[in-house]
Amino acid sequence: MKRSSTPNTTTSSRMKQQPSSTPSRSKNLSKGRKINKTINETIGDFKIEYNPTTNIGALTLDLKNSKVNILTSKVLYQLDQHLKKLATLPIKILLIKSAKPKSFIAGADINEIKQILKSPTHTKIIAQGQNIIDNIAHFKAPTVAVIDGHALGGGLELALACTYRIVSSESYTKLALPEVTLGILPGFGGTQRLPALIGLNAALKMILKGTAVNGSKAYRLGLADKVIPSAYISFELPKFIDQVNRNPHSLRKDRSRRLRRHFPWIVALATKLALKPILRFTRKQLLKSIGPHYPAPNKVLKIISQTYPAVTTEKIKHGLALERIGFLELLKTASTSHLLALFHHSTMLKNKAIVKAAPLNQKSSTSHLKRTLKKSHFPIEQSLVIGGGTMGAGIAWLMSHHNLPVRIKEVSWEAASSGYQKLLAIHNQRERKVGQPQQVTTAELSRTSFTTSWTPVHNETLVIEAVPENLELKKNILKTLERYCSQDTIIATNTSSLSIDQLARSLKHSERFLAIHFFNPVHRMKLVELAPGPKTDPELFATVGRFLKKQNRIVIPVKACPGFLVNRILFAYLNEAMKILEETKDIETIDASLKDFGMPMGPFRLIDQIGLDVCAHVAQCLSKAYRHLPNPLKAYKKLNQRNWLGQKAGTGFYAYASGQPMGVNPELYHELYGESALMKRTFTSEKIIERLIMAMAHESLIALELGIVQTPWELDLALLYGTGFPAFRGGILRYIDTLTPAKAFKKFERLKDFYGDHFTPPAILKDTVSRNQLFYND
Amino acid sequence: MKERIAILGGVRTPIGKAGGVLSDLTAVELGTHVVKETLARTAIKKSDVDELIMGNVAQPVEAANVSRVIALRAGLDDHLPAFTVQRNCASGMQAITSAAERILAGGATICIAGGVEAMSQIPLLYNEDMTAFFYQLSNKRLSSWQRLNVLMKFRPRYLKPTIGVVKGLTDPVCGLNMGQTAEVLAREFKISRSEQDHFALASHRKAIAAERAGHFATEIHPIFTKDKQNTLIKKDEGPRSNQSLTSLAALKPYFDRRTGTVTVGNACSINDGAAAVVLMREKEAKRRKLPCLGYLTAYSYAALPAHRMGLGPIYATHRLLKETKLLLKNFDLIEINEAFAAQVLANIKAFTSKKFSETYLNTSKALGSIDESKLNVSGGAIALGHPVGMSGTRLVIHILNELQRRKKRRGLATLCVGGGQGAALYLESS
Repeated sequence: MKRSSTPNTTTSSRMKQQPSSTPSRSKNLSKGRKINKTINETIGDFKIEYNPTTNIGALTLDLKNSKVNILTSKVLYQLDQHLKKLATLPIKILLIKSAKPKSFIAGADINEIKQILKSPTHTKIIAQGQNIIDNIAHFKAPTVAVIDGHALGGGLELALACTYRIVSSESYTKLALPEVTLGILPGFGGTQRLPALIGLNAALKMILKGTAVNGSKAYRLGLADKVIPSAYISFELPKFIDQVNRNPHSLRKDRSRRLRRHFPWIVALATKLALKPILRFTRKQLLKSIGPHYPAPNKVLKIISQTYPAVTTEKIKHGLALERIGFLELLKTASTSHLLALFHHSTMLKNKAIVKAAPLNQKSSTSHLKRTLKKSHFPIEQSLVIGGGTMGAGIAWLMSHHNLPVRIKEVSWEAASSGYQKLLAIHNQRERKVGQPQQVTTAELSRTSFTTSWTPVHNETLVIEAVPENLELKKNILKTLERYCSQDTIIATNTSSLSIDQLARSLKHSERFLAIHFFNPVHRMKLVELAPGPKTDPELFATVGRFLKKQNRIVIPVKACPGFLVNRILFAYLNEAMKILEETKDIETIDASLKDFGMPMGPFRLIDQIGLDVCAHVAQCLSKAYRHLPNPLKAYKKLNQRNWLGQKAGTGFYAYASGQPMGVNPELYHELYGESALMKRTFTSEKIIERLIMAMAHESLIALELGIVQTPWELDLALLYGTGFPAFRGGILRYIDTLTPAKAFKKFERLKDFYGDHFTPPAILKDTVSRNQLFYND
Repeated sequence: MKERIAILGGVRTPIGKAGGVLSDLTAVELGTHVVKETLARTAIKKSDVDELIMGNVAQPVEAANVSRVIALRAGLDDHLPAFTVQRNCASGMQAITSAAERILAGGATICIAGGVEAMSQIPLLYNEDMTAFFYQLSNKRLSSWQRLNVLMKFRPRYLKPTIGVVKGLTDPVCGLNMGQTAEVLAREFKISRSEQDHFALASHRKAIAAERAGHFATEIHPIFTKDKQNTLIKKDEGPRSNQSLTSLAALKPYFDRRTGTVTVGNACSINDGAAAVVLMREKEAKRRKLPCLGYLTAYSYAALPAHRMGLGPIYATHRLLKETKLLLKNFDLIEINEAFAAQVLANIKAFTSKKFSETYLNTSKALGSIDESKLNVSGGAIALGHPVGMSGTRLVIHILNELQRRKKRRGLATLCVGGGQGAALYLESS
């Protein structure tokens, strides 16, 4: 109320001060002011509009040479200048808009944030930004943020500083404060203004988890004052402005705050009583869900606990100072810089073109780019998945989920039935866990069909073979399949452990053949490894890559080798774990150590989850190719014979009751090691971690050296999404960088002396050390 | 017809009994299932299809123009137009002939046509009294007192539902139920109860034999039920291997309790199912080098008084023979849809009757006798069931498959249509 009345008083006082050129007209001045001219100009990244008859001003952000608006320091500076200029006018209402389609402001500039620490005046830089946002909050007239698209991070904080927010109801409109997921915190008053606006509980959910809300949710939370379809904004906006001018209390936000206005003491008391328990509970939950390695959420909680509810100017000021300090503290931590780098690289991966790598044994770099197919355009209109097992059903789900008709070919109707059940189970899970509506399930299932007989495959089909991992079986399937396809139908195999070269040889036209390696379960694992066969057409390879990216997959192009990238590295790690087990006979310590390191679960829990039969199979395939690695095949076989297949069988390394581990399988050590089961040794946690992580690092370096993966950051991202390598560590190669390559080199040498040649320092590391370089140069 | 229309693909669901295995599936789901499959089997690009035409009698309330809903659910192009046809029991044939007309008129190149019926899903309705009661009650101008007065008028008999299926199977013009029209024919042609029961038994035996020999395997595409078990249904629910004359004889006449001969045993049942085929010009199929199931060469529809609707096949066939200048004996296989045993037997008798031809068809000669070894070789609707909108398409698919298997050329598929019509299709094997 206060604020809406201020502009009237200021304008009238301003009029008195201004000497009017024609005194005779002074009576009309209150109605139509002719003193100020209409403003409609574009300066830098902003368009400034001002209408002297209505006294409405508007700032429209349109960042040059960018698809989305970003709050760079330059943009903030310009904003401030324009605000100051507009403040000199008798403005009644100021609108803040974006000229970008489907986007309001996508947040602060991540690159700038990373550079902040390098500047000696970093505190000042942040304070400046905060001041500019604060100036919006203290602008002399009411401000309205018109949000039709993403308002993320700093963008939402800017909107929060406005008096009102109008939000479009379109599905692309998302409001979120995702800073915490990057290891930082909302530094432009988000931790202060959001809880004050929508209450502690809702605000914590948004800030601590980075949860995004859509238009109607924002309205329900009180974050938005109005929600309307995007197309109606142009004519609903004047009505809204009119409402603000005439009676701001008729707006919903104010109505819902009647309690706070009339009985502030009740609210204050309730807050005082509830604040501490809520914070304590949240802190506990946080520790449970993300562990101790991520400092940002706790920092946010601490700041909020000191200032909530930040309703007075002094409190906000105090809160902003806390934000500033917290922000810089977080920025100095290694985990934050790793998270920021990962974010940067995953954006890079999204935009990176998929390029087929040259086959491993082919040295010349040009010959593989020669086009082999006559077709240069590969439309994909439907898909055929061969095999309806766990992987087949998962892949079929993915295709149908992304609007593609999918056909599943099975050997018998019994097998098809079980595939259908698996598909239903996925939908069931999604209905329960991510709130997938029943309608979507029906639609996706009706896009899926089953068959037991081979039928001709038309050209616009992507065929993905996902039958059990058996070379002969796969070869036969491919041979039969080719008879039903034309020679440029895309045929993909879902494998990583079998030889792509051998599979390709079973086809007459292998230019259209490649490997797409999905991870299990497909509906939760976004990673996909894409490997070319010896003759794969480069354009076709790129098409499949783009296609999978559109299906929201994280696509890592790799060179074909047994295990590809992720399984190759993962099994080096798991095999080493099996070897340590042989020495210590102590599963719990090994698993606990790795969990402390930050892995989502220890290696033996992981093996149990993958399934010991699967592990045994992959280990067998890989052991042939990588003879230098420890070979745990015998142990796997022993366990498989007892039918201890892991979690799915109820017994593996652990014993399970209703899917939960109930301690180590009591007969395990005896079964594995017989008499020597009692000869235990104790390793410290650090030793176990060092040995396992260095085993992982070793294979990663070799993969990089061989060019299995194109860049270090792609390798790190693949491990992050494929094995759950802790994000706060930034990846395995980042880990070596943090350790320094020289030290890692020494570690390898020492490990080699102790545990064998498979720790011999890789050449690429030696090279990096000798050139005094790092794997990352950011 | 100027040119033959090629029929490709051709799949159907198993036929389920009303309230049986497929009763949870809606017409849309059944239709989606066959449309998807027939398209996949013919390997035609979905963007090449120009129109989807489905026959459906009891059009579901929740899916007006069920054809379009099926098109969208089956993942066909968003820009694919679709319409639904209704010629009662001949809807599944009407879809095919409508598609043929669209193609020959140059309005479409490739069409998918078929029939779908989910009779288990036909709703029960409030009767007229209850509907009137609701109307009165919802009148907004009533005072509380008047409203109470209306409420007092309620009688328990209002709750007796009108059964949609029964309503649908009763002719609104002559007032006879379909079964009663069969009784009319039984009397006209002096067909005894035991003759009918023998015919019904043969239908079951032939159906069981065909099923065991795997003759249906090419046309049936198995479907999963929608209940908790998600059982796979691979075969028709209707045919009974243990059907016998004694058990048929034990049944009481259903439509005329005292003097009738038509029982539920010698009539077709109420069923769920769907079938679909792909259609294009013969030239187009040759140009695309697609394997054809067969061709539609000619067809005709004819009408007759509603209470004798069961004789539709002879009227329609008479017209077809006149147009094509063929004789009945030229056909290698004949399918007459078995709505009722009495009705098929009446047709067989009428075909051989000179008197019938003179009285009703304006010709001096009988149309010719039907060789029973050519008639309904794999049983018919009495054993398999008669999902009304789907049967027409099923007959076409089945006769073509059967011609191909026997390496024969000409087939006649004909059926009687409630309301007093008949349809006859001349099909040729490739």
